[in-house]
Amino acid sequence: MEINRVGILGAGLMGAQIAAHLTNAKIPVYAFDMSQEIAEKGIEAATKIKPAAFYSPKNAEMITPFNYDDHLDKLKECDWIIEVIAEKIEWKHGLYEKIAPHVNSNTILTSNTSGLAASILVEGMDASLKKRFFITHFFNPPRYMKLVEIITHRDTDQSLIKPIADFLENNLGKGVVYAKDTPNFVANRIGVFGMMATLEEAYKRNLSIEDVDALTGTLIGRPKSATFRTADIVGLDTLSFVAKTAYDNCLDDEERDAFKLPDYITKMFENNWLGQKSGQGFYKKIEKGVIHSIDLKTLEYTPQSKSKYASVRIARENVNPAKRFNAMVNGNDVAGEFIWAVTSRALLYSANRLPEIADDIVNIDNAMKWGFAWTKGPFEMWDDLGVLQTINRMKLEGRVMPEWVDQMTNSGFTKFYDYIDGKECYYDPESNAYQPVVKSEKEFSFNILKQNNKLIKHDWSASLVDLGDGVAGVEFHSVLKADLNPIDGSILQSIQNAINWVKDRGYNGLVISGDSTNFSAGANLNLILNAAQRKDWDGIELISKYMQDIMQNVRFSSFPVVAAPFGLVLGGGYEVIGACDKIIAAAESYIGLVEVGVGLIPGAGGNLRMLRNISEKIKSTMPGAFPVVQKVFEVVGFAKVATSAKKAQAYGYLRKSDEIIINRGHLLHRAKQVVLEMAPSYQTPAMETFKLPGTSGRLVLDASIKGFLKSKKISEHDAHIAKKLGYVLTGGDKGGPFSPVDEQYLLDIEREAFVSLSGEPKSIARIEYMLAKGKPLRN
Amino acid sequence: MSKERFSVIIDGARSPIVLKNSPLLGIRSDDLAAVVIKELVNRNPEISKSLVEDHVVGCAFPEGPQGMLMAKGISILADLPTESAAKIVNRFCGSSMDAAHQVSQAIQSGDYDCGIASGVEDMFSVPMGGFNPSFNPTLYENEYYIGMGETAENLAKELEISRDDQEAFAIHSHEKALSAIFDGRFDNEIVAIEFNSNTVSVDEGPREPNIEKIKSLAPAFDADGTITAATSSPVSLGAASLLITSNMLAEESGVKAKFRIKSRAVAGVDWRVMGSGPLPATEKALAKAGLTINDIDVIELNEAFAAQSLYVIRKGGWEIDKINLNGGAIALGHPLGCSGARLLVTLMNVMEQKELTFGLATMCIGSGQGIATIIERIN
Repeated sequence: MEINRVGILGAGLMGAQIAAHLTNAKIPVYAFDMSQEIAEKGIEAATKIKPAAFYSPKNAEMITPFNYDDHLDKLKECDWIIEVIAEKIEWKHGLYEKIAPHVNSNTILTSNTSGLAASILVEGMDASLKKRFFITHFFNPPRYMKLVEIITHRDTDQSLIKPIADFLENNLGKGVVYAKDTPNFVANRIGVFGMMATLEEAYKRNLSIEDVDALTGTLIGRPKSATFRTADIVGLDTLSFVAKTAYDNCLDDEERDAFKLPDYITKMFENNWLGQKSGQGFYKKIEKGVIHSIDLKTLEYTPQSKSKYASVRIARENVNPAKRFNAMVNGNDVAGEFIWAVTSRALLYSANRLPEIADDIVNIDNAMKWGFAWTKGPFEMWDDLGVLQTINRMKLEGRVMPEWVDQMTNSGFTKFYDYIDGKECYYDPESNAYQPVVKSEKEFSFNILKQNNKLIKHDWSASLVDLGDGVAGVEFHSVLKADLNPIDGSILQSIQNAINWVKDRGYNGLVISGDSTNFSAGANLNLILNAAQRKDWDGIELISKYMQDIMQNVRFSSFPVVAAPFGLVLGGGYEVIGACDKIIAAAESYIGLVEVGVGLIPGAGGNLRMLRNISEKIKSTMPGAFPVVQKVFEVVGFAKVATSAKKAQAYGYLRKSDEIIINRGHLLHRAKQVVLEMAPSYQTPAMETFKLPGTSGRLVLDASIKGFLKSKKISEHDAHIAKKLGYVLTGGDKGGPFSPVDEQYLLDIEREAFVSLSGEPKSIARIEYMLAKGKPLRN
Repeated sequence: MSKERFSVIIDGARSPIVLKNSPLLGIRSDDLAAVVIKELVNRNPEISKSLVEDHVVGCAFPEGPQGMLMAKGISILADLPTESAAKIVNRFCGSSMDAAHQVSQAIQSGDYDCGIASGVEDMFSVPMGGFNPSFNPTLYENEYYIGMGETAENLAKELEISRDDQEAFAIHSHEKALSAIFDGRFDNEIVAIEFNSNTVSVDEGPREPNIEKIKSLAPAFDADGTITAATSSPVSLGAASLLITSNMLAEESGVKAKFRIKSRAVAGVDWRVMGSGPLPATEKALAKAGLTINDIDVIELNEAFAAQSLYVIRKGGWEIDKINLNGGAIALGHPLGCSGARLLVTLMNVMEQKELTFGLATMCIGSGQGIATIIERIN
């Protein structure tokens, strides 16, 4: 079956955002609500929401607003209908009854409920529609959260599940978890238990809100918003609702009492301190930049004060997240004990939920990673901590393991996951054996390849891996910041080695990508800062030249090089992909040349790539066309970061010939295919020349810089940087409408500007500030 | 004895002036101007359009959609006779006033008896500065490319024109324009424009001033300066057109000509204070007409900036009550190439409504110039 149009019932916050994401996948949507006005307003609201629901607000044109009274006949045109109305069973039943006569005989109907049972939702539904009904539970915000839980009921026609699951994975980029029809399904059941247990353990130990968040965030592989900040974002009302659902319905749950709302939450609820939506919750913004936290005992808001813990200091010495986590649960102070308490409870709780809420541990782990943004699922974490030690410790504390875990360890299996014959496998209690993790053939990663002995050469921050079929891949995995991959010497050297290796072996081509969260957040600023502080200008010149040369080597290699970026792709990260023949970008790529923010301009060919891309885009035949330069100047000069790969195309970071892949997991597979497609007829590109406006155009930019400065829209130093940028983009002293300049000349003047700026005290201050605070300094 | 030959304005019309977010955005300049001209020609059947020998169109950035000798294109779209000629004239903000001057000059010299002078500008489609700006280094050094806001700041500084005074001037401009709209005083000069099934027949700029907002705006051009978006004329779109003939032709056709073009003048000033241009241009125009500023009953002074207008008014010792009775460009908008003809259309309208004799229209011009026209209402 093909899905060409989707109907959304309920254009509220969630419904409109799901509709928005469907348009991101180029699927037209009919969005229904009680009245035409409500439907229109819902769509309008989705265009304004942050983070953006649409790749481009223009997508909203693909959603047609309708109302239930006049337009139900339009449902006939929909292949899939998703109901996203309020969680009131009688409303849902009423709506299903109302639409039933208008739904095509092969259309699939799903509900986005987060709490109501599928078996109850289908009560009273006619047999034919019942067969085509199940739950597809998206997570908020649906564009960004990978998880969709699918829950069927007794009469669901199972043959309809696969087309929807495939559509979710391939077209919407989602990850599907198969959950059973139990209260709160998988992610919310475990996730909200985790939060409630965290509240309980924190309260017991008198830990402050801010300390709990510092301990339960990125330190242990959870999102930055950790526990209380997440609660404020989600809203205490939602959290309470989910907890209450579990308490009321999970009568045999061994941790049922954990779902009982503590008094302080009840009181906060009464005060309407629900979090972000009511202006205050666990945190309260007092004024700009001043946020107080609530004291759980007195319910007063007081200034935050963060405690220092020895266990945290020791744990932080580990760059490897698994080792850091291990150090943390073994810490000897209150922080260590707290983390152990919440972790061990979460692990045990998850283990006890099998097979109650899902058939296997893979679905549970995926649910937590995709729905709650944990970097690892509970069973993966358990493996990291060491299964036997952890079980021993829990048993010493008097806790009882579920039978299946004892069965596993008694059978001599000491891990939940293992690689067998290069295949990722999980422990399956029913067969008491490891079974392969079922994945689409498009799911491909460096990690799996390395488990299959495909590693060619490992370096600190990057590896060369054999992707098969004569394609090699460079994987970025920074030794210092694995999640940000700053471009360092090891990465550059690895790229150069890869080029040589592919050439020597006669391989088809090369892919540059990685497995982590972000492709690369830019060049290693520490390197430049250290050299600048030593006044080692030659050193900086060398760094810039080295990067430029390697990028040009990528560009002029005799085989196709394809970049597959994702997440942050900033500064030097962009300059790497800009040099490649083709870019296969994850839809969620945030690309930007942001050097101006640290007082520099792109120094490894970024300017050149942008001039080329925008020239192609504007396709002006006029020599020295100013609009090209002006556009690049605006994008680079204002350090614009694209909020999606689609937006990056509009800015000119990506070209029309580049591809956007909605499912991050399919990225590497597609990049490899593209190398194989390009290789047979590949020709090394020729050195390009550019007809730029020269001095006459530079003066136009200078005049606007002057205006910006005079009106204080930019600082003196901004103006100084902008003038340097203008000089490079207009072709320096040699460029002009009738005196073309080549790539090397542009690289030379770019480098000169880069080196000179890196010596400016105000640029150095910007770099220092960025390294210390992670945000740009306006000086 | 041969009779004195001079040029007369038979009639004038204009489009509403619209701002950003207008339903008219996207209409082409040539299509817009053609609608206005068609209406002008249709409502003056006594002057057969076959008599129109030349069509002169003012436009400050005649490129892109305003390129390809748009004047002739507009003539074709407006159903002017194939035999009539057409040209574009560019004197930046003074373009279409200059167009009127050129038609008037040709008539007065006896080259022909009938012509149309128009002006049009779409500042949203063609950016100020054009699509491919390129500066001469020597001129750049001499600040020839100075921003218009900066030139106005220079004038404000010279006469110490306070921000409060500028804001009061701007607010008054809006109030006058609103009252003119309310009383229907623009009705006979505006031609309703239809585009994408929307019809616009009222200027979009004038609005009830929001004092709090006006006071809160940051200076737009110089952080230490006094000029804000509220005291500057807004970016806009509009077209205006005038039907001009010799007094003889008017007489032969049995038309009672309403306005005689009494004198025309242009003058150059330092481009860094281009806003002072109306002063020398007016002086010349007055001298040619044999009049003094006191003889002038009413003035249309283009309000590029409140500071610039106040400079001219104070320096010239002009009576503020004679100026822009129906509001000015700060309220109405200043679509560069359209404004000169628009001022003359509005001036004629005001003179008829108030039954006045001598009127002056004058404007400053980026690059350092001024232009002025004096017209006389014929009883």
